[in-house]
This record gives sequence, C-alpha cells and structure tokens, in this order.
Amino acid sequence: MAFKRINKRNLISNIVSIVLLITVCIIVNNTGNMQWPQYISKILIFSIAALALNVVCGCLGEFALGHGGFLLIGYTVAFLVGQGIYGLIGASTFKDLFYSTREGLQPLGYLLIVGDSLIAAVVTAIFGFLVGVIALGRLKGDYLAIVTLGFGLIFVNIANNIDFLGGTTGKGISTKLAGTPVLYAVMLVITIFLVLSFMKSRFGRGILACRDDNIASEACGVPVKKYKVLAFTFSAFIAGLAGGLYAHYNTFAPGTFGQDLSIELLIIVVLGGLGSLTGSVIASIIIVLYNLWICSMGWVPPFFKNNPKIIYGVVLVSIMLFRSSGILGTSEFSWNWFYDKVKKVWKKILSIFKKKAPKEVE
Amino acid sequence: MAQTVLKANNISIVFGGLHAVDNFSIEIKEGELVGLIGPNGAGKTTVFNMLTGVYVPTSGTIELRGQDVTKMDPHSRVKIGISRTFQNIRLFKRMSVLENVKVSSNIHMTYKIFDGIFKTRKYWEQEDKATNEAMEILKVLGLEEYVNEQAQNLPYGKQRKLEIARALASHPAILCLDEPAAGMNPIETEELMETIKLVRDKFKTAILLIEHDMKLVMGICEWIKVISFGKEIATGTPDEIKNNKEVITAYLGE
Amino acid sequence: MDLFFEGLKNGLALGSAFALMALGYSMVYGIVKMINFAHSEFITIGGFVSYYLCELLLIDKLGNTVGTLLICLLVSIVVCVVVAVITEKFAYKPLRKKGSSRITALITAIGVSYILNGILNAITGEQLVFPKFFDSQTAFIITIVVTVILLVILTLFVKKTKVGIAMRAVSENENAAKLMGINNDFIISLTFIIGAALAAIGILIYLLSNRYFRFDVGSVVIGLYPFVAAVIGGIGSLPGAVLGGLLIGLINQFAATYGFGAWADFIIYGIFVVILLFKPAGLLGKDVREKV
Repeated sequence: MAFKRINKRNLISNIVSIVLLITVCIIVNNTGNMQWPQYISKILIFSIAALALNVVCGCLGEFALGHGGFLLIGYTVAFLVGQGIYGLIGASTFKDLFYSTREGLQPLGYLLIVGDSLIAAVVTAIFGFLVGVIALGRLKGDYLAIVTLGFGLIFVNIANNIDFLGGTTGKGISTKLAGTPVLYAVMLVITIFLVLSFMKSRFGRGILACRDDNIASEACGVPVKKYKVLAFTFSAFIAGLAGGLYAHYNTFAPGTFGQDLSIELLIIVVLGGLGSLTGSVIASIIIVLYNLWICSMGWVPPFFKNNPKIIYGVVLVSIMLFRSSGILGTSEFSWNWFYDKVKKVWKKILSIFKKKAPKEVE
Repeated sequence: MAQTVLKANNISIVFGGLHAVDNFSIEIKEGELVGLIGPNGAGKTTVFNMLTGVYVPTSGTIELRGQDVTKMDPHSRVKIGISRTFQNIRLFKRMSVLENVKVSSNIHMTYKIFDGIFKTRKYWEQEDKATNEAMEILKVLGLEEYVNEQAQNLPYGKQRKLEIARALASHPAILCLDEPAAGMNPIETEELMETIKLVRDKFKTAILLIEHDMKLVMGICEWIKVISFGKEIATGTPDEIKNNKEVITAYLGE
Repeated sequence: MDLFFEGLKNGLALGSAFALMALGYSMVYGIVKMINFAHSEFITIGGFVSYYLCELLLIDKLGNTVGTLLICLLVSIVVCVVVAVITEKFAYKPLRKKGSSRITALITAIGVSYILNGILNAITGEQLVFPKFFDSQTAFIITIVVTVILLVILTLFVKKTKVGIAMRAVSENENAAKLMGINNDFIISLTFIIGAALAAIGILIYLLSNRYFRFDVGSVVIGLYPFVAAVIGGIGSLPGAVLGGLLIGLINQFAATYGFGAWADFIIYGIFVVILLFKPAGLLGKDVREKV
C-alpha cells in the first residue's frame, strides 16, 4: 500500500544517481591516485556532519556551536572500540579478518567500520540527549549557542588531558582500518534518507513548528521541550556517526575538534542555506575543497597559502552581505524541479531549431 | 443536562505585587458560546493564559472536563481538550497551510520514530487520516484553495481563519479565541461571526472568546462575563450586560 | 598561603584585563544583539600597535616610561576605534539595514574576524615579547586602579549622560528609540567605538603581566573568555561584566597555580554552564519573559 505513493520516475532517478555516485567513488578509488580518494572521503564525512548540524540549526532553528564536541565523542568511541577489538583478537587475526594490504578492506572490515560508527553514534546520541536536557529547557538563542560551545570545549578539554583518549598530540591513535570513499558515500546516502524521512514525519513537523513559534507549538499540543531534545539527540546521533567514520579516515589530536571545527560546520550549514540538506552537501564540497586547495595544492598564490583565512573571511562576509540566505536558501533539490528544468531547456533548444523553419500562423 | 467542559474556581495571579487577575471564576458547558469582555488591560488575555496553561495561577484551580489541570503544561491540556488562538497571530509562518493544521493532529498520532523514518503502514494510516481531517476543516473555513501556500503569504483575514482551523484540528472540547476580529473591517467581522457560529455547530465545541468588537460579542454570545481591573463585575446575557450600570461605568467612566 | 596569594594576585590582574574586554563584548551585544567575534581581533590589533610603537619608536627615545605607555595607549585606542568603525560601517551596518537574521550577523562577524586575523598573521606569525615596564607589584596595582576607574566612568556615562541613556534605550527597544528621535546608527557606532577602546586598554593591561604573545593572542589565547565573562555576569550589565571577568581570571590563575592549568577550560566552561542553567540571564542580568 505504501508503495503506491512513490513516483516511479523519481525512484528510478534516485537509484540511478546513487549508482552513479558509487561508481564514481569506485573509479576514483582505483585510479591509483592517493589524494583524491582522501579528498572525496573528507567531503562525504563533512557532508554527514553538516547534515547533523542542519537538523538543529536549520530545522529546529537554534544555533549550536558545539557540534565539534559531538564529532569528537563519536571519534573517540569509535577509536576505543576499534582499538579494543584489535587488542582482543591480536594483530594478525585482525588483519586476516578485516584488512589485507593488497586488497584493502575486506567485507568484514566494512561491517566493522559501520558497526563501530553506529556504536559511536548511539553513545554520542546519549551525550546529545544529556546536553539537550540540561541546556534546551532553559536557554535559547545566543545563550544556547554559547552553552553548546561551552560543552564542546569541555569535551575537547577532557580528551586533551587524558592520554587514553588521545591527549594533546593524539599520539598513537589509529584504528588500523581505513574507510573507502564508497563506504562513506553509502553512509551519506543513508544519512540523507534518515534525515529527510525523519523530517517528513510528525516529529519533523513538530520540530519545524518549534522553529517557527515555540508558544504556538505548545498551544497546538506539541511538547516543545521534548521535541527540541529529540532534535538535538537525533542531530548528535548523526554527528556521532560522522565522528565514528572520521575515526577510520584520519588520525587526530582532540584539539582539532575544538571551536574551529564547530564553527566550520556552522559556516557550511549557513553557506548552503539553513534548512536545506542539498545546500549542506554542496557547501561541504565547496568548503572542504577550498581548504584542501589552500593547504595541499601547488598553484596557490603564496600570500594566500600562508594566510588561508583571509579569502575565507572575504567570501563569508560577501556571501552574508549579498546572499544571506545561503546558496540554496531553504529550497531542496527535487526531481520534479530537475525534470521541469530539463524540459524547459529542451524546449528552448527545440525552439532554436524551429526558428529556422518557416513560422507557423498563430 | 449538558456537561461542564471548563471550570475555573477563584483563580488569581500576582505579577510582582500586582493582582492582574483576582478571584476569577467561570463555568462553561458543552457547546456554549461565551464572551469575555472588559476594558483594555482588564486581564482578559491573562485569564486565557491561565486557562490554557501559559501561566500557572497563584491560587485557585482549573478543571478541564472534570480533570484538575491547574499546573499542567499547555501541550498536555491540549490533549484533554482545550485549544486557542492568539491575539497577535502566531502561525508557523514558513510551513504550508496544510502542515500548519496537521501540527495540531500530532496529539492524535501514536506512531513511533521508527514508523516515521521507515514509513510503515501505521505511518500512512495516521498521516492520511490527519490529512483528510485537515482538508475537511480547511474546507469548512474556506481555505482549501491555499492548502500548499506558505502560511505567511496568506492575507490577514485568512491567517486568522487558519489559526482557528489549526486550533480545531486537535478536536477541542473548548476553543478559546483571543480577539479573533482584531484588525478586521466590518465586512470581515460579519463573515467571521458566521464562521464562528458555523464552527460551533459543525465541530460541536464550546467557544470562549475575548473581543473588543461589541457588535460581534453581542451578536453571537449566549452569555457574557465582564472583567475590569482583574475583577469580575458582571455576568449575564447580552441584553443584561448592555443595561448593566457597572459595565457602562467600567467602559465609559463615571 | 603564598601560593594562594600568588594565584589571587595573578587572577585579579588577568581578570581585570578580561573585565575590560568583557565590557566591550557586553555593550555591543546589549545594543546590537550580536556576538562580535571580531572583538578578539580588535584586542590583538591593540596589542600589535602597542608593541610596534614601543619597538620602532618609543623605547629608543623615551625608554620604558609611563609616557611611552600613554602614547601607546592613545595610538592603539585610535587604531582599534578606526578598525571597529570601518568594520561596523562596511560589514555590520548593511546587514542591519537589510534586517538580516542573527545567525547571518554571527557568521559575518566570524568572517570579519578571519580577515583581520589573516592580516595580522601576514604581518608576523612570530612570537613577540612586549617590553617590560613595571615589576609585577606595580603592574598589579595599575591594573586594578585602571579597571576600577574605567568601570566608574563607564557606569556614570551610561546612567547619567544623555547619550548613555539613549544607549540604554536603543538596547531596550531599537525601534521605539528611533521613534523617540534617537540616532540609532550613531549610538551603535559609539558602542563599537567604546568597545574597541576598551579592547585596546584591556590588551595593554594584559601585556603588562603577560609579555609573550602572538597574532592569535585575541582569538585563541584569550579567545572567548571575555565573552563568557560577559555572559556569566549578565549581558548588558557593566558590573556584571567586571564580575565575570574577575571570576574567570581568578579561576584560570588558581587552576594554573595549583597545577590544574590544563583543566582550566573544563573548570571555567563547567562553571559557566552551571551558572547559566540556574541564572539564564547571568549573575547580574535581568530575566525577560516572552509575552503572549
């Protein structure tokens, strides 16, 4: 019964685009280039993290400046679990089961990363729930933003000081498994589905109502506090997932998950358009590529290479001044829109050809 | 005999020494259409806020369909059967008209997050039911052509109606309207009177309304309560109120 | 006990510097409801100007004297004010005129902060050492005296003068203030000017006791502490900002003296969260409830 409602054309389009995405990832992974798989992985992970933040900032309408902290929790949990398994079964068995240098990840290895990240997501969600319960009941607006930032910094400070969790240098951290772009792509697709579907349910509707008017939502029977905490927890879940996946992408020092990452994510979300998932993904691509371009590529003017933040700042300020709703505003990519556009373009092309033919009488 | 829907016993509220409302009592029965009037600053909206749970009264009790709700959250009261509109329109501006109404259906839905994400049969059943109901309400209020419009793009009068529609979707036993005719011209007010009557008859709900427009109040209310400076000064049918000396003094001065 | 007094003294000195910076954050936030992330760069700019003045011009001619310091102070105030006014004019004002959302303003502030930080970094990324002017005892006394005097002046200004009252009116209700004939733009610019001047004074005081600094002194080392101080004390409350600043300075220094320096962030933000949960408007702030 449920399947009646699904538009066949859109379903097929979805499947085709997902297959395309994954094919691209596989091709990139097998070109032998060492850099691009890394770049694409980072873009995909950042997209997931940005989607997480967008649930709070775009859909719930509250600013959170502490999502770096949630990513950190996810990262740490995934790392600890991975490390634990590694220690438990020993290096050689670990390699046999999950990872062989020649073939890369084995099927079980993929499963381990996904499972690991899911555990990380659940633990992070618990933290998100706690932060939400503590902070969301009493605070909103900028105060909430600052308190979430405070929580983020607290998490970072803890991780910085306990060697077992990484310490300032992040020494020795490696989960021994490296994810591939394909894996991250699949996880991104799943995340998009989760968020979209969640927002289309009564819970998502309640959260959107809270964004527009707390008092009216309460008067319509929406338990505002509960739904805010729900949004926050859901967001933390996805942030934890991103953090868990990140643990299999890179080694880190907790300090890198501080304020800078939180703010970078916020910038991505605002740049893409608050509330637009498509926008978040597009902005992730832009920001991550920009950072990589500045940091790792050759053809950058030296002044900017040394001072990457200047261009960043100029771009941010100009976007805010001239297009403050972000790249996409609140609009979302949809196949209907896409095919309408295609039809229009097609018609234009046709009309160009028709002009050459003798005009018909109107 | 008709059942009592809403009963307030001697409720008072004090804001930092100011007795905003003092010993106010009211009892409304099923299907009644009651007016609450009084000069500016008399405490009408404060009474509303206590009845719907925005403020907790300093003393006194409130019963909703026989249940004590004095200290209950606004959203829990909605479940028992009270809903309201606001003096200054508070719609979910960036949501569509249909979604606005469906927000209120939330309390009748029981599906869990899992159903919501994976769109199970339960999800579709409940969502469909809510959509159909919302469409019905919108049709009664003459808003069906705006279903997919964003709420903030509606003309003023329609926004007022949408607020009523949204309040109705939670199936209230009593509907509280806070100055529904504020900012309307005489023709729109006339239309609104018809709508209010229609709503009462069609949805079998009691209505309590605050209003400044005497024509509207006198025209449709079965009985009226008048407050001034937080205190009740008169209760009665429209004709009784019209001739009540204290009421006239309160409005016009000595 | 010596350890305790050491912590107390350093804490009060650092706290006073934070307090002055916090006053700037608090006033700007009170008026335009925006966390001015660029404030931390104003702070650094003040430090840079003072440093280069000393190094390039003054120390050779005037020596390590109060006169040198005063010239540094004046020039750095002027430079900070100019930067603040330019920032306000070109980045924040257009946003205000468009009636943009708060998050837009926030991101713009972050953008401005990045630009300024990048420029400072381009000037020099090296570790700088501010010349020594006083022994720690004298530095401490000067710090306290300056902070108290400024707080008194500022309080009198806001409470008693016409402009100060206008300022409070704008912070309460911008539109109503405009209708009463107050020139909002002027008031807002003035607030930024005062904030920037305080930032310049604050960093100079900071440098008297903490002589090693870099381009990231405002954005990373001092970071959000002054803003957190302003929020703890209660946004819009001048004594609150000072109280918050002193509190954070003390915690920071006590933690350092007793060997918990690495945990300072944890302690400060922990206390910050707890305070906000019990007093959402800050220690000395007023709670405002939304009207229905």
